[in-house]
Amino acid sequence: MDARIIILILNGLTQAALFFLLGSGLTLAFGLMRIINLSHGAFYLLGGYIGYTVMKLTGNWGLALLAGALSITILGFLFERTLLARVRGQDLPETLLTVALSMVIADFCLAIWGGHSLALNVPKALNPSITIFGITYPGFRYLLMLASVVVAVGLWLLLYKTKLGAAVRAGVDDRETASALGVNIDVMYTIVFLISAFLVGIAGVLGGTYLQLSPGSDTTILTYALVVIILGGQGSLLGAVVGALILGQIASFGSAYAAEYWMFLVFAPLAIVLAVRPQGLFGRTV
Amino acid sequence: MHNSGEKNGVLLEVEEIHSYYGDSHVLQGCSLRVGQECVAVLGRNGMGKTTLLRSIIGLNPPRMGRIIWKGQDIVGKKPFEIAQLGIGYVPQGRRLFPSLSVEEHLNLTYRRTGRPDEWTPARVFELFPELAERRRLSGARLSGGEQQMLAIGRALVTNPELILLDEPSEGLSPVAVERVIATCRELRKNRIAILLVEQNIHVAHDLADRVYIMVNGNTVYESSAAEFLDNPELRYKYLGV
Repeated sequence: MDARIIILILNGLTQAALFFLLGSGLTLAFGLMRIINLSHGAFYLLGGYIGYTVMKLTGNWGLALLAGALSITILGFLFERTLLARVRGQDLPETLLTVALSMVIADFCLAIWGGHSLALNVPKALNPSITIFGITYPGFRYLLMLASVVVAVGLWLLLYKTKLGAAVRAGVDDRETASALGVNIDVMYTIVFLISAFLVGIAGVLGGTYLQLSPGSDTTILTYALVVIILGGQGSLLGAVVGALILGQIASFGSAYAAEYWMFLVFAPLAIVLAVRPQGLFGRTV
Repeated sequence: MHNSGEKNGVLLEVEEIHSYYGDSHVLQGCSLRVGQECVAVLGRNGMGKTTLLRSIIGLNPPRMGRIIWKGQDIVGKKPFEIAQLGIGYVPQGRRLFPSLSVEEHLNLTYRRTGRPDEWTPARVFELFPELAERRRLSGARLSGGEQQMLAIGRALVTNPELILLDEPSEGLSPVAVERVIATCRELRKNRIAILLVEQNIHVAHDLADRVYIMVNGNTVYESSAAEFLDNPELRYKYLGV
């Protein structure tokens, strides 16, 4: 295999890592709460911007990552407890609320950080050139892949090896029956929403380092996240992994060989999956 | 064992409840009492029997009327709070969790009481050895009878004082139905009250101390089980059998 192809595959894996961080939390929240958080992309953008500012002030990338992740977690908590919980079970108000929040956040970001593209600088220590089998590739991208694998394993352990995880899966399967058997589904909602917000905050700082942050990133990112979870199937962790891997490779090879068909290449598999298997590759019919 | 509710004190009292399913007015002033006994609610399809159980557990809260559980009005409480007060629920069609193994079902709903005779997952496996053999299997891959055992076991480990059973014999083989009946007898021996909704007269006949007949969202007739079920005229009038 020539080096160009390998680089493209690695690019695809880097993209996939970011897509997984975006999609995994969203798909769990969607599977459990049956609402799609359309402010997920705005959370990503805000997390990235906060990371950018902390990086500028302190020069400490690790601190920037922490600040981005924690601030979005807190925002998510407040949003879920004070607003979303009020309209629980009403599909339209829930969805509109998340749209409204995304617009407020996007405008807030425009006012504070302006319209130019910004990016966090990767510290040299985190971005050594790594050469494997003669292919030299930025170390930060390997770090991104590693982070994504760690998150995937962590989520898997949480979901499949703990009682909390069993409660979440039961809620995804049948929230009514779970609550009638003594499971406090409201607490599950909050926890899953927090995990989702935490992961998208991390994704924002990582994405702001590896890509760029600018007005409009929020909707682009939201679109990718939606494609990932629709491909993979709502509520499925494995689905988020596979959806992210597929979309990552499409994004990488598509932009290299058929940039003009890029949007088509992203959405064609989505259309096919929706037509043939509407519940997604690993989803179940509800 | 066959004591009537009044002698041992009333556990659950449903008073004139009105419940809706969407816009349709399903329960129209329905009332009943359950003491330390097995009570069966009978009636034709679509009379509101399932809605009655869903109203008690809080999934379809009534818009009017009261539901008194051990002296406390539980209308407006959330389902998980009602469950934690000691009411176990076995829904119609079992509704197991496909993503959970047999063992996870029991561990999830297990509620410690500290009592020496409490129901633990281990004790449920003693009661249903066939489930113990399949403990790693997904709940969805069990036979109909085993699924019903698991649905009952899942409610049992919440250590309830009353179990709501919605059509436990539905879709089961005659052998499995006998197993359900034997299981319910076992529950009664352990002083767990049962509120049973059934189409299968035979199950009601074998288990119930008292019966209520539901017609159009209302309990219209109440008697001892034998009095109703051994009277062909009444049976024909209300159930058509």
